[in-house]
Amino acid sequence: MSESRVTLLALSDESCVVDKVDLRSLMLKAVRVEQRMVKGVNLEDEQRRYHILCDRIEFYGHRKLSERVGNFVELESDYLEVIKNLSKHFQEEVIEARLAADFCPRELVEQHIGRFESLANKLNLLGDGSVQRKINFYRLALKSGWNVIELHIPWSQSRNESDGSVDFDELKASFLALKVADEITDMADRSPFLGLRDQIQKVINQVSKGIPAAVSFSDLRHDVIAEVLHDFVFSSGRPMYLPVTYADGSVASPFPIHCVKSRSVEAMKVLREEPILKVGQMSARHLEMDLEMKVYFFRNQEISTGRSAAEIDKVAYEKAKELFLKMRTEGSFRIGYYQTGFQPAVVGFYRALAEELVARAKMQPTIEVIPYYFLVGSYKTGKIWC
Amino acid sequence: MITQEYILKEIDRFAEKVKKYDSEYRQKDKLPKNHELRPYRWCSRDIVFSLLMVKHERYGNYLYADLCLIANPPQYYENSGAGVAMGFLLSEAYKCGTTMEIVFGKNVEPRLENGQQKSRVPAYICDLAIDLGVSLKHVFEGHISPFEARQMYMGLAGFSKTAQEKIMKLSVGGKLTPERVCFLVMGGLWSLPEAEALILGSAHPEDVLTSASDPALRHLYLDDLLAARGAILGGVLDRKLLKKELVINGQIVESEDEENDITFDFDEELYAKIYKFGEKLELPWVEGKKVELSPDVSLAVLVRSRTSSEILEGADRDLEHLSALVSKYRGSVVGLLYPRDWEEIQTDRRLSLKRQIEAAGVYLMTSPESVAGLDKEAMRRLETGRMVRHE
Repeated sequence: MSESRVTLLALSDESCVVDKVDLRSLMLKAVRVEQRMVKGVNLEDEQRRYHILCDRIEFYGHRKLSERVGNFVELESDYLEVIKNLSKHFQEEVIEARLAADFCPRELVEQHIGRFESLANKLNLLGDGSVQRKINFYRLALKSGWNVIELHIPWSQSRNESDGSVDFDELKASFLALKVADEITDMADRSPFLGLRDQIQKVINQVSKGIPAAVSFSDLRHDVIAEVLHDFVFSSGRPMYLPVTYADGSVASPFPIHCVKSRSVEAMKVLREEPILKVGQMSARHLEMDLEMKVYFFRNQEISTGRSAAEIDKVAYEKAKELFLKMRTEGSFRIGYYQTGFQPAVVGFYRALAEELVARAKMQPTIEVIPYYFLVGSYKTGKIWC
Repeated sequence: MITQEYILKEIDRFAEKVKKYDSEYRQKDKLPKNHELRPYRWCSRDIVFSLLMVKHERYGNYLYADLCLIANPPQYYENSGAGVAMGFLLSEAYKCGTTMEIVFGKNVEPRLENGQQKSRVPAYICDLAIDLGVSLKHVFEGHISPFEARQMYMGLAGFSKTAQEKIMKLSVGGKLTPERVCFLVMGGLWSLPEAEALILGSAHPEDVLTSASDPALRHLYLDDLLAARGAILGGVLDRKLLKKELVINGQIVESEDEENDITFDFDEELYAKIYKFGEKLELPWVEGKKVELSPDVSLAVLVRSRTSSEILEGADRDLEHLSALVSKYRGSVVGLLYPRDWEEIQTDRRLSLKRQIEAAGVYLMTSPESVAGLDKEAMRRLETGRMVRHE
């Protein structure tokens, strides 16, 4: 197998100079790139620079190791599993303390090993052989003022996985028993509204049987999404969260349905005396709307992040949650919500709105959202969310 | 019942759609959206395997095939047209983010039932399903369910039994969907032997195949990069061996679809590629020697995509593995494949290492690819994998 083992190599400042290259200078440059990567600006360029620097550090590290320069210790094969586990459980701390980096200039050794020890302790990993070896080695490096490089040694073992062999027929039976839809879609000709309703209903049925399923909102008309979601949010039934996905396979947070009770006309009477505020969904999509709108709900730059659809949905949802929370302290609002499209932003907005309506269910009505869709040359009003 | 009249009518419908597609998209330099009907013609040279018109039916979230004509050209393996068509339909269904359900429209091999025109799953596809051991339950409704699609995709991708076993284990463990692995192979990101090397030869194939690691987490990313680098170097050797060079009028001509007759295998324990040949070939990239490979002898190659400093550092281990490979494949031609970085090693050290390798009865093969080039390609594939539908 190509499975790697990791060898820790400690080098003094003097040993860090190879030919005309100073490994310490490469390490410090790479640390600066790491700090820039966290900001996410020009990420691809920074990642490329980081790879080049790491690649050079690793290359010269291997050379030093083959020449047996410096102190070194080989870790057990599970070390990468430890790093993976730490990254999974403490993603932010691991990035901040650079625990998944494969080099450590002497200035950062103390901080590195302190954080490593504390996080490993949280996962009860201090008894692990490679964790112990690493801690001891780094303590020695700290005392001696060494820089550390953690080198991957691929193809260092020839043994196979030790997960045991399983009977092929048994495995195939478990594979075929994996829950996956085996039903087919009813093909009666229907409108987009009914088509999406059916898709949602099918997903609800499958989820209730334990079959993994999710509604895909990609490529759907935004007016259809809003209208059909309205029906499911305001209809009676067992409150549940509807799984949501997009065509890129990204999975968004589920959407709450059967969770809001419509307010009576009487209850809405006071609020409806207030004027409607014209709010565009997102700036810089249809510039001709600028003259008509008082304000836009989302800034395009904040939402169109070029990430996966689920991430865009999340950004829109969080922004909308933040704005709705702020609006609670600012009085009553009747929002004429002029939709501009972009499915993940639409779903994120209505998820936040549905949750906001649930949160305000026992209060006097102070918010009403009236969707407007531009269809066949003019704006049409959608179902009201209040 | 497929009649001549039906075929001619569908070909006309296809031609009309192509004309419309040209004027609406190609001439305007536009690309259609997934939910718009698109025509596809699958051919090799002048032989047509299949004509298809498909779209993503977005409200039902399935792939809709409005036209599906399949040929079974006698020059190719049995039912090759259905294999091509179904491979495309499944990959397109995955790409569009559908549930993997495929629906054939009412014009596909239609019949009248109670005065209504109804479609069916094309007969050639039903034959293919039988060959693959998949039972289709909705043939006369014209549907292939996601459950059936999964089995057909696995069958069509052509993984070896050991690789299938590993994919099933990963799927049962919830680490990887079989559809994603099949898509990465049938979509061309990884060749089948490369994917097998990843699946069988790396500790965490699911991380590589889902492009899970963030480049900022160097340890995890490097682990994936090393696995990808090894698979790609093996793939370079596969292609070199497969490539047939025809000599026409004294000129070497590369043939597009004529390849050498080779079967591939992978030794996961030693990370070695095992080849068997149906004809005589020359072992590539051996300096100063002409080594002939013949059908009665297999070739076992230890693939090690190491930089020059890694070669020096790992030489003892490689020699140990070589010795194990020679014992395991006694009677075979055995090679050790390094990238071009081998040449960066100091001459005296290099010659001494070469002597040790040859003393073990092994041919040293140095690929024209360098680790820098392999890493660039590995990074491209990991990045492309990140854009592919995730599950």
